[in-house]
Amino acid sequence: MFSNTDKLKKVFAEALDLDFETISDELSYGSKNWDSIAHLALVASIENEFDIMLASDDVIDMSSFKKAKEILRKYDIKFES
Amino acid sequence: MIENVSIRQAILDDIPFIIEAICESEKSSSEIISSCKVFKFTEEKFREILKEILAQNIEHYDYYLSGFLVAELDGKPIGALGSWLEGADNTVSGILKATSLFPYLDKSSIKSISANTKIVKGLSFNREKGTLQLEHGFVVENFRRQGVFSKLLAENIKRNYAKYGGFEKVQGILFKDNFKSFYAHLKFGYVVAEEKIVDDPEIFKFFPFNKKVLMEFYKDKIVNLVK
Repeated sequence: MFSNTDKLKKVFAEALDLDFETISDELSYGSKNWDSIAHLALVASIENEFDIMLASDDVIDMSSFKKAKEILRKYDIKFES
Repeated sequence: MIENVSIRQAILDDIPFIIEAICESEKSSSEIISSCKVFKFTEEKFREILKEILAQNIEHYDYYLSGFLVAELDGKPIGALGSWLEGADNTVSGILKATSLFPYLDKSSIKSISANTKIVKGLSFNREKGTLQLEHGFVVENFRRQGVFSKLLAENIKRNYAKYGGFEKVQGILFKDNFKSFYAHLKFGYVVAEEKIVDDPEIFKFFPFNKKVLMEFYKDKIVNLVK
């Protein structure tokens, strides 16, 4: 059973075409493959994976992996740390 | 040089002309609108989307209506140029652009859009926080090579310098093979800061050209201009 952190890492890895192991809190917009087009794919994949609909403000604020976890907590998705 | 050209901020009534400016600048003298190719919009649909987004007048990215200046002659628009300060209010223009387009995307095609990113990212640049971005420049054909674009560049820099209390540099991203635009930037005083080339022929499915440049205009020239 995947933890939510691992599920989110998997989503990031697929949307940004990165290795699972490289996804960390430090990963932020503008680094590696994360550009505006990849951001669209990322948001769509997160909504699909966690069965939520993100508010526009949250889509704008989602500028790092760490920030993504903080935002998803608002949607009652729990993370270990 | 054309005399009597006035420069003013874009207003809601200018939206059709600003849409023209965005589409024509994306085409870069070709018939390809990159946004349509990447996001799978028809040109007609893209124009409808731009109409709605521009009317929202959201700051700090490409489609900020009030960031556009319009060059006017005898009451008619003959040119336009968009602007925003990258990173103002801790925003990121790329994320704002993605967020504004997201509601219009066919979600079932997201996977294929995502696949497109693997090709188009080769021509993507990071915009530097705190820099003035000037893009989507357009001058109606009959009025080109008569100083209108330079006037729009200069006025945009002056007004934004006053608005934001200064900035270190101005940036613009364009196709190097769009010779008219490229040389107009060089003539104004921009220099090429970075160049990217994608050799994969697949790139021409999305872009009219395979070479992009990040051009910059530096503080010493900015200070001279705003004196």
